[in-house]
Amino acid sequence: MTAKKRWNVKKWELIKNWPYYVMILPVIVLFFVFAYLPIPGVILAFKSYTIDGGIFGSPWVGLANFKMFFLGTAFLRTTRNVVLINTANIFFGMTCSIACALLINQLFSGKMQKIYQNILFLPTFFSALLVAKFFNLMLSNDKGLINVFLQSIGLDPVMWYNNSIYWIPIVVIAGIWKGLGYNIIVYLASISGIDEEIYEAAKLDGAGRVKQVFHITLPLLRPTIIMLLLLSIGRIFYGDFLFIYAFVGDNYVLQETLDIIETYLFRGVIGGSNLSSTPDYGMSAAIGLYQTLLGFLVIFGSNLIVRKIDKDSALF
Amino acid sequence: MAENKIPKSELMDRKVRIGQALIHLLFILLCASIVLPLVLTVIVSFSSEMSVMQYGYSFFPKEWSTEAYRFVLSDNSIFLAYWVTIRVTVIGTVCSVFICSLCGFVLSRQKVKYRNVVAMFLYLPTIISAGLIPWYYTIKEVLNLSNTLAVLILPSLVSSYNIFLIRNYYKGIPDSLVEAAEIEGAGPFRIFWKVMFPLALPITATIVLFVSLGYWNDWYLATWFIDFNHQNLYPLQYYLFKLWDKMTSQGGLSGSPAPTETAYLATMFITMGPIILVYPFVQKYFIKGIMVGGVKG
Repeated sequence: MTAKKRWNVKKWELIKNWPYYVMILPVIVLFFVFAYLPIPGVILAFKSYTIDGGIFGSPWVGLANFKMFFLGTAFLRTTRNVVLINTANIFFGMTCSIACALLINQLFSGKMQKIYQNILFLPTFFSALLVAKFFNLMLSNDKGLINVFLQSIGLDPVMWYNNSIYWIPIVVIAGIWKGLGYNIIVYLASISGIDEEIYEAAKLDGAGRVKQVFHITLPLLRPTIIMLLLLSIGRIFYGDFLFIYAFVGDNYVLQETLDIIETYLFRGVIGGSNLSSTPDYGMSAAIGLYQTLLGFLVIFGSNLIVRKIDKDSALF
Repeated sequence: MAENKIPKSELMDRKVRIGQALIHLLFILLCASIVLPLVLTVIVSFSSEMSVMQYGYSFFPKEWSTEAYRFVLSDNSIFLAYWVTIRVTVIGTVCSVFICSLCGFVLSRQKVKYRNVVAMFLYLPTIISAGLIPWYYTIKEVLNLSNTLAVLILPSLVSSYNIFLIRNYYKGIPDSLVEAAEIEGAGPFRIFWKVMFPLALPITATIVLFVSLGYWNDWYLATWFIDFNHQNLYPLQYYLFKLWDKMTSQGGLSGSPAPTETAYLATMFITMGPIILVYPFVQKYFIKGIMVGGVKG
């Protein structure tokens, strides 16, 4: 009886408000196709893929794909690289952008503030490729500004592109450089939401600028900082494919420190299809699933820790 | 006492001033690190290949030349890439903003009972996703979209973040406006198009800017889904990437002559030209957009 009634309500709602549901149809369809339809494909991780079998007809192989990945060298290398790059990026990136936002907010006013802000924001518009080439203009082994300069004063040039150890710092610096202007705006937006009266009161109590920053601005920025930190920690196993790929390309020397899970998957899948053989979907899906699961653990873990410390700042 | 105090505060003053000058210097250096590479790109693209080969990249080339531009503009491949990028950006942005606005509007209406179910449906994929390979497999093998213009547009057409941003904006518009329109007999689509959409211009403009920048600079979809037999579908950035590839792998593989260093930079300058041109006009809207949309939460 009640079930029937509920069914009627459902039907009624869809009929009564049908224009609304038609209006969201395109979005629903696109989400279904590009976000939900791929989900059954996860089982590829447990299969040995064949063209004739497809997703459902290919033979099961249990955990063989995972085993192969974990026993190979790529597993440790890609995971280590992506975690190193992201950790450095989060730590130094956040520190730099918060520091710059505070400096801009505290020291400059009016025109200077605008000028700095606008120029620093420009790299937001640059594609990864542009950034990679800009660094190449400086670092190129034979033509780069740095090596030309070193040679002109009689020193040996540094062979940046022949040695992989330089590249984690370079990519991290490039990432911070590209994102700085954007992040400064995010923090400035948050700072501008702070009530002026708090500062006035602090001034009356004799607090100087430095004290104001450490006792008012930073504590009030804490929720924003924690939230951005959580969001980026949740993505610590996910690299910025385009950014890395723009720097590395097919330079296998740099792959030692810059190969991340995405670039490794890309080579596995696209490399295969270009040679007109079947890409190893099984193995690749296993690696992808490993990445997804790690990401999950990290999100829930970090959120749990934040909940313990400061309940209001947790994401969920 | 009093005598002591004056020089001390002067000293403090000087310290503050030196500190401020140092911070200005820091920011000027930062700005230089952004502007100078652009300048260098332009200068090198107008240098002669010989002077680049001999003396490396330089702000003061030994010899100027427009050879690189003549080489780049001698075939139409860059215009083809431009045409692909323009189509992708225009079609993608218009469609994306339109359907996301529609959805945001519906989700903001109290009378739509299942709006929270729909919102959950849109939010879930940001937490649980199938991952890269099933996504790639679906688009390539199930939907068969490889090597089409659509594959450069469709996968990034909808974004739950943008939809929620729009929904929140619509929620802020007084209900009485919609009710008045309803009394006059306007249907939901009419209300959206004639009443709400014009009122949401600020948020719409922001999203137009971000979405179009995303499409303009995108080469992710092209790297995964466009192969080298379909070079007429290369968007600008991917075209640029392939050019570099050709250059660093000593060329010769595909028959056409490998581009020179200056030609590559000339191409790069041609691709970033429009962005540099529009930047002064649009950057304040981007900044405002970040301030308005702000941080999630």
